[in-house]
Parts: sequence; structure tokens; C-alpha cells
Amino acid sequence: MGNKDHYLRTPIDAAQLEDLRLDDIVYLTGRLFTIRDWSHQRIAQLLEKGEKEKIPFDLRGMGILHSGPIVADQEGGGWKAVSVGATSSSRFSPFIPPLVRDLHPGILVGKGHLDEGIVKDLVREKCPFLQAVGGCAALYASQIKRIVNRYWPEFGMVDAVWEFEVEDFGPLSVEIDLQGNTSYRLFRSGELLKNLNRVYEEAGLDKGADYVWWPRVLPGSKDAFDYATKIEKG
Amino acid sequence: MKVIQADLLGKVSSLMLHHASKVLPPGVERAIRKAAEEEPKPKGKAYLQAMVRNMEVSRQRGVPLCQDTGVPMFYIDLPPGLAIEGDVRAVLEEATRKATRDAPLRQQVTHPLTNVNSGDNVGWGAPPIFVNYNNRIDYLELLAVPRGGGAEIKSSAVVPIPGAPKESTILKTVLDAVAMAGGENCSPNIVGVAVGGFGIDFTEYLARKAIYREPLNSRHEDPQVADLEERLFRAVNDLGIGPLGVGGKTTCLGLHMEIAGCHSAVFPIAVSFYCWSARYSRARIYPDARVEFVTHPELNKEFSHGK
Repeated sequence: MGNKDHYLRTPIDAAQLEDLRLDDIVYLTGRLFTIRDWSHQRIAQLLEKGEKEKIPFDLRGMGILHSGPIVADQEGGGWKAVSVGATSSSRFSPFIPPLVRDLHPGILVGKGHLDEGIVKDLVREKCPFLQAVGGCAALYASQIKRIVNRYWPEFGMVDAVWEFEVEDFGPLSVEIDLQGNTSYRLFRSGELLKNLNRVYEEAGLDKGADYVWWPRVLPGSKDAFDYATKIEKG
Repeated sequence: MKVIQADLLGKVSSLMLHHASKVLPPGVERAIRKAAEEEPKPKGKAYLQAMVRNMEVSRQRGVPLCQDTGVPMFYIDLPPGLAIEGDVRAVLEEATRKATRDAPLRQQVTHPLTNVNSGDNVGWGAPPIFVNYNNRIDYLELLAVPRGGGAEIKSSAVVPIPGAPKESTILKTVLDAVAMAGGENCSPNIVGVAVGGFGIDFTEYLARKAIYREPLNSRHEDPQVADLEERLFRAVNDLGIGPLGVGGKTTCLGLHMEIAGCHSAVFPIAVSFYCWSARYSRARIYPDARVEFVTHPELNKEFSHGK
């Protein structure tokens, strides 16, 4: 485990990324691009169609932030960052492998976890996943020196791609490093499991008990069709 | 019958929504600062310290604490013998538009089928307004909540088997919900729990509204409920999830439970979360139209000058 501080500058030097260890703290200076639901989807579609040249920004070696920011118009033109924090990244997992493979960003910054299945893609493409402290959007916005550009304005303020010039943007903690370690897996299968077992035992709870009458499975989930058509094992 | 003018409600709500997005209720801020001081784990402590700095930067710069200023929710508790004259929905919509411009809040409200964004957080029934007839108060109580999405989506409700052991079922349901969220609901949270009530939307309403109980982490007047609250509060913190699931001793800042009469075969349990940035604003409007801002007393002066 790390807990070392790193100061990175875009375009990020690949060798520096190799030094990052789980739980190290990173501060980023340079260019940071926001990506959210609609822009992630459009990037994935363009790459799938082989139309990379239609993507109007170059992410190579840059930072990506999963965020739908609050941005205000500035008098005399341009914009200023009001509140900029990370949004939950897990929902973007399917869009990430093609993006890192074809656009080669330096680091991916978000919140929460990514699906375990894409860790190998991040490791292969040398793009670690970092977490910004959730809810600290006033703090992070104060580290944005300038808004350089806005792409895909038709998505609206929240889903447009914003290009920020940032200085010592952080703290960002390393959650997936280039050794393929993930803090999510370590915590959930380690400390949380241990604590849950202890707390349930102290409370006299059977962790395998099934007290739920409804919903048996969630409508709209992959299990619903089987539930509706098969007899439950008693 | 005394009457309060809807316009007054509108002016008060706009200020409340605006300030709720930027300044946490004092009890929540104190709880975060205390957690930051007491956290022994370095990463958890660094996270909590960033939260403290965020509260300070937000205050200095006058900007929203979190970019997800959410969908505004309004709760009105009406005492006996007091009525509101005028178009409450219209004034609360206007209050939302004004706060969205002035704060500014994120343009959040979209049509659920077309993704068209109204641009002012009003539209297609938003903002939601909940009215409760409350005969235990003699003033109108107003609650304005800029409620973000990250904690809301991890809220849940289930209906247990009628014969299931009550306490074990409640304890397991709440602990499972907290563990499943694993801090990605921007912990440390305020956890609201409700047991009973009918239909299930009422159970969820009670759980969500329980979040805003003051003082933070105070206990229910029913000793049986208070006992469950205390045990759950300790158990949740014993999970060690800490801020954002990075590990630490504070997973919840407070846990509040409500109960309500229910169908004899249907006792729903709802669990609702609020992120550490537990933004809400509470005010009282007395029958003589006097306004008292409870969570944001700094507004008392501003309001008496501004009107």
C-alpha cells in the first residue's frame, strides 16, 4: 500500500503512472476533460463505426473526469467553473475499454468502482483509475484555472465535454493501479467481509436468511424472466 | 382560520433552496468535522479532511457544495387552523427557477422518456411537493431539499414475509442495504429507515423524511424504536465502510427510524440514504406570517431586510 503523494502533469508520462500504487494520492496539473453518460455513449458509437476522426478533442495523455459540472457563462464570453465533482463511474464500465484502447488517456478519474471485468483493459492500456472525493465539487472547482473549450454543446451543460486547465487538481486516490490491484475488491472481500461477519454474529443474524417476500427478483433485471417461468426451488 | 399567503412561501423557499445547496445544517457540519478529527485511518482521514475543506471553500466562494444539486423536493407540514392562500405549486416552481438561476443549481430535471431538459429544474410534475397535516405543531413547517441522485438511487424498499422475525428482518435489511451501497452513496450518510406504512410509497416517504430529523442522530420517542435506532447506528458504524467506502470508523452520521400502521400481511421496510453533504433547509412560518429559519439562521436577517 502506498499513501505517497504524486504530482502529475499532462501529457502524463507513462513511467510516472507505473509508480502509482493503490491508495497513493495524486494531484494533476494540465488538461482535464469531463465525460458523462451521453458523451461516453457517443465516443463508443463513433469508435465502433471507425469514425475516430469525428471526435473533436484529443485525449492522449490527458485526464478524464466522470462529471456533470455546474458551469456559468462569464461576462465578456467564455465560462467559469462553479461546482465540479465526480459522478458514480460504475455505470460507464461498458464504455471504458474502447475509449482507453483507441484514445489513450493518461488517467481516468471518477467515483466508486468500475466492473472487475475491465481492470485488465485499464492495465493493458496503462490507464489507472483514480477517485475524486465524492461531494467535494466546490473544492475541485477552485482548482480549475480556466475553461479551455466545450465540445458537443447539444448535450447541455451537464453532459457536454468540458476541457479544463487545472492546477494541482486533487486529492485523487489511486483505486486501480497498473499492477491490476483494485481497492474495491480488496476492501469488499477483505475488511468489509470480516466486519460484516462480526456484526451479524454479534446481532445474532443469519447472513443467509431470506426474509424478503417481494420483490423476489427485480423486475427489469436478468433474473425476472426465469422467475416468471420457472418454479422456485424450495 | 388563519391564512398564510403563498407568495410568502415562495420567497422563503427560494432562499432556502439556494442556501441549502451551499451551507450544511450546523449539526451535519459539526458531525463531519468530528469524524475528520477522530478518524485513525490515513486515507479515510484525508477524505474527511477534503470534505471539511470543501465546506470551507464552498462558503468562501459562495458556490454549491456538490455539482449534483439534484431535484428540489419540498415538504410542507400544516398545523390545524392554518391555510395557504394562493397557488402553492406556481410559487414553488417560481422559487425553484429563481434558486436555479441565483445559486446556480445544476439544470437537472429532464423528461423521463425524451431526455429533454427543461433548463430550470421545473417540469412534468417536478419539483415534487409533499404536504402533511400535522396536529403536533402550531406553525407551518417548510423543508427544502436539493436532493442529489447518488444517495437516492441506493435507497430501497422491500416487503418481508409476514411471519419473518421482526427485529432480525429489520436489522438485516438495513445492514444489507448499507453494505451493498458500500459507501458509494457518498458516506458517511444519514440513514433514514421506516417500518410499516401503506402503500410502499408512504413507507419510502417516511424513511426519506426521517433523514431530516433534528437534532441529528436523536432518538425516536417510542423506546422500542429508539432501541433499534441505537443498535443499528452502532452496527452500521461497526461495518468500517468509512467515507466513500475507503474504510474508516464513521459510516453514518445519524440513523433515524419511523414506524407507521400497516396492512396486517404487509409490513414494508424502506431504507433511504443521504450523502455526507446532507443538504436541507428548514423554516417555520407562524400564523402571524413571522418567518424563522431554523437550519440557516443567517437568513433571518437577510430576509427581514430583503422583504
